[in-house]
Amino acid sequence: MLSPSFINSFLSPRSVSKYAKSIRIFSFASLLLIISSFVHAQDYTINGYVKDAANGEAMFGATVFIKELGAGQVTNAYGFYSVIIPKGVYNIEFRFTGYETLVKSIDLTKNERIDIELKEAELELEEVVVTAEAENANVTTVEMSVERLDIKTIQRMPALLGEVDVIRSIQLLPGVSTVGEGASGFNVRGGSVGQNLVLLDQARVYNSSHLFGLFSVFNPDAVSDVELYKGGIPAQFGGRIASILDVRMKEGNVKNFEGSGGVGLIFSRLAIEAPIVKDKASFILAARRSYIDVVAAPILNDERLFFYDLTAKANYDIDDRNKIFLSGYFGRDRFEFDANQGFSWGNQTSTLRWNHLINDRLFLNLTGIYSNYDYQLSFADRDTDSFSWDSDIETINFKPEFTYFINPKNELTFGLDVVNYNFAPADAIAVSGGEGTDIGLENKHGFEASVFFTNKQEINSKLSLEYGLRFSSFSYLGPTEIFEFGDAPAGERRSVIGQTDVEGNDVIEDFFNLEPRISFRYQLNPSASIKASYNRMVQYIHLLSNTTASIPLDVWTPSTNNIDPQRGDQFALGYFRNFNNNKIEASIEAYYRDTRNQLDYIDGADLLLNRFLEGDILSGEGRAYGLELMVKKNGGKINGWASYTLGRTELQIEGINQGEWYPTRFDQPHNLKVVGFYEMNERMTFSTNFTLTSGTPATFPSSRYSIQGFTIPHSDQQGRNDVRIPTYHRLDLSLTLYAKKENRRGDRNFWVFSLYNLYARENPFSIYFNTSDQTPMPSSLVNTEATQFSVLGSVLPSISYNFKF
Amino acid sequence: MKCSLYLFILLVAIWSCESPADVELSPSTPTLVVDAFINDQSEAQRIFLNFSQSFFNNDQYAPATGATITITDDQGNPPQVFSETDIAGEYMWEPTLAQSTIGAIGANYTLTIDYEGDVFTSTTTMARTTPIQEIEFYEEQEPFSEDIFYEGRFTARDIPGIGDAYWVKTFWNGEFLGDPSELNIAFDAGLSPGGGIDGQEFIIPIRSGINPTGEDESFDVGDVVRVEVHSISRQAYDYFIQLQIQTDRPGGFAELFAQPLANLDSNIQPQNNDDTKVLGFFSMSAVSRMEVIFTEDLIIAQEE
Repeated sequence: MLSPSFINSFLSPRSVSKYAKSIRIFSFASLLLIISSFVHAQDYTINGYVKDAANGEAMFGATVFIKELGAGQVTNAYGFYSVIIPKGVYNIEFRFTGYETLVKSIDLTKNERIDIELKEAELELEEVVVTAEAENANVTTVEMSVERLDIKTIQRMPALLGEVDVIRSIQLLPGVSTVGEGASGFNVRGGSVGQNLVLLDQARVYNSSHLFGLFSVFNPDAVSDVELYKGGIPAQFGGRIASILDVRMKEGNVKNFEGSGGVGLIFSRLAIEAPIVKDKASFILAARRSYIDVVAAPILNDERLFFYDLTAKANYDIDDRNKIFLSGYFGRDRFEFDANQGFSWGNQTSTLRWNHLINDRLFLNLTGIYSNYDYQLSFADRDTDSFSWDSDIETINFKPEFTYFINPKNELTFGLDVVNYNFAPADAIAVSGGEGTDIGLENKHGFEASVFFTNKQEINSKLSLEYGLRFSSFSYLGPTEIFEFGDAPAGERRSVIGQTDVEGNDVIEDFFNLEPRISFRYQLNPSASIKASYNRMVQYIHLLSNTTASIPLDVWTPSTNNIDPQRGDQFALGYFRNFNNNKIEASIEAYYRDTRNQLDYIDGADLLLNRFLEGDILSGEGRAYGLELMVKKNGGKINGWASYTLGRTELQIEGINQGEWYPTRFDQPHNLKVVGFYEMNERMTFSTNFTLTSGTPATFPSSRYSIQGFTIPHSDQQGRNDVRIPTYHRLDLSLTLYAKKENRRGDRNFWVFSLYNLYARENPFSIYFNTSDQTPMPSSLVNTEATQFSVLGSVLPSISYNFKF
Repeated sequence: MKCSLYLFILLVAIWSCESPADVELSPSTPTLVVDAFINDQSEAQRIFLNFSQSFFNNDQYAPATGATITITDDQGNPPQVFSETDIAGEYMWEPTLAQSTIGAIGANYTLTIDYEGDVFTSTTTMARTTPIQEIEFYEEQEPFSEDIFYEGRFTARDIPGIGDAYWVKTFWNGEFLGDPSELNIAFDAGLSPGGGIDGQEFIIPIRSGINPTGEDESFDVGDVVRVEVHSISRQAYDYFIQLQIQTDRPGGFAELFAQPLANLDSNIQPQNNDDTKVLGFFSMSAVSRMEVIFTEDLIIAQEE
């Protein structure tokens, strides 16, 4: 899936010249680093990888703790750690929740490489927490506003139609919401769906939905864990103003062949992983396909309706210092009405990554990424009439990222992030009566280059900091056509007053931004801390959507001479406290985000196949603020969490709501989520979740009038989103039943029975207004109605069977 | 309670549900509404003046009576007067020997309304229309079944040159197909200005946009089908697109992709005081028409 254009785009003159600027800054940073690396030469380094003993998967977030110093480190996303300490005798603990703690004694007289494999605790989870030393990372790390879910937790939650889903699971976390069931994507701290950067093994995923939004594209069999950054976003991430969702794929078992799969109501799944060279190289291949069309085949004519995805990854440990990974995703939704007509969309990504230890302290993660999202729509009618429309957005991304373990108190990460965008909004032909017209739109090109550094610094035992800076630039490039728009009254369409064709790779518009990021933690006592953060995020590409839920046809467009980059400044303050020997974690966080250049649209905006769409876009300010409370119980027969978010998200855009602030369509002041697990015995686990959120805002009419027989709703107040639909609440329940028999690795097959929307509440998605189909009474007008639409109107039972072999 | 089992796209049985909502709406202030769509045919032309009312009020609209209404042009014709009829709120102009029609392509027209001392005006241009060549009935197969139905299509070509807009009106056995989902608006040969499909046969969605959309409704042999192509201004085009977004709310899963409710922009201006509220639209159309009786020889058989 790595296309040849990957190489070409990096060798083109325009890319090279764009690079030059960033590279100069970058080399300067590297120089500083080399100088500083001589400063602490008297200390020794202990480094290595922490892996899962069962399958060789890298363990992200494992604690490496030096007892004698009372200090330690957490492994990075690739399971790597590096600590620099003076000569001496040490006992080093390697810990990870749910795994047996391992202690290594060492007489440190030279640099040491210690690779560790941790064994999953044989005991029940609750006993593990008692026997192993409890973790308090949530209190002690500088990180805040970050949520991490591992796939095991996600798999235990009750799921819609029994299909385990990453995106639905993160919606149960504080600060995360959705506009309703069936809507694609998610909203973080009042940000829109298009303000989240969704990464699958670092590759951008532009549309994370199957079936419009009921399921997400991530195959749980191939996912290792998921991390959501809502705030305090480190400088290595950028490009979206609300959040970063980092989905990491499993690497594949390097020890044994392992197969797993499942049959659910929607998908059938199969995944295999196996060593290629034992303990050296392995792969995982996971596939899913919806199969209802197979079952329904007898009643279908030419219609083919299905979706599928394929996720694969391979890795190779070349030697102690070098590791390479290659991963890819290919997924598609296809709705074919017959041979000539249909609608399909899908993402493809591939990531090639090289982890290289340059020296004992300098870790390089070099990544090349290709990502593409496209859709195709076609209609045909006899030979004389047809319509076809292909659209795609393609990105090629190159990201060298260095982590430099300067000394025990400083960990510096720095690098480059270069992205080449190619937007092809429409390659479209309309044929009418045998005559064809090209109704396509010009391609657009963009180049984003950023250089960043971030340093984690421990000032003293109480105060830790993480500070960094991202310098980002974006160039809107030719060849394309650009437009100049005239003025129009606020909220109305601006018409084109000038058009220019830009030849070659000329820069049409350049943007440069400094994005400072800073977080600190102040430890009040071993079980309590205060954290605060500030970050500025800049977003250069925009998801244009004026519908309630995002649709697969929504268009990503770059910042142009008419559209400025979005900018967000977020402040967050939190108090973190653990109780009962860290068995209970509690936190409270407050955030405020001020956003600029937020997009909304004129009434009746035409966002698809419109050359002049920039004239339909309005821009203004936004603000989002809130309070998030979270209580989480780890371990024990009963565990889970409760989260409550009190928040608002509003926009002020000239031409909408008479220029006054108005709530966004996904503004939900109250948002309560409770997730509970009850591990009854070895074979049975019950889980439940409860959701209670404020109804989303809506605009209701006050009046009616008639024009040419059409009954038109009208709001005398001319408000936007000034009323709310009823409250949403829902309870789900599920039972996981494990087989009596274990397979040779100790895994058991299991059934999952679930009841979604247990008490069958008809939760409103929206309330709409129209006229009745019924013939009116004599001398009366046609009846007007308000109708509540609920995506689910009853309890939804489901069953799935999951097996391992 | 109308809950139904929808067969949603994938044939995934998902229980979605619709039920009447009991909502409280903001109070409504009656506002003057001008419904003035005039065409160039030699027939009675009507303008309606009424007041808007509370959204859930199904009583007849309160009429605005006693207004004086004229349409003037820039061609030197005398002002054309619309007089009140027996139906309250209806004002009518009838052709005379001296003045058989109102309207010439390319001319500018001003509507002036004096209602209880408040004066409202609106100006528009009559644009060109295009002739209809034929109306045919295509044999089609119902999706997911073997049943046959007939889909009406008219043939007409957009006039070369960017910027023509049309409102295609259909009359089925004399009855105007006036459901919001039956509104058929063209910009040049396509659906919207950004597409730039110009000077050719109207694209399929427009040519076949003349069919009734009600449940189980379709044309059948013996029906009388009349299609009219009304030229409209660019402003009227925008008005109709907005009207369609605001009124065509079929519900169901379309709600996921609905746009927010917003008011339609009127092209009627108050003259005495800018704060006087007025709603509605003034449009002048040139019309081309074709009427057929649906006979067997108008059927285009299915392709094998």
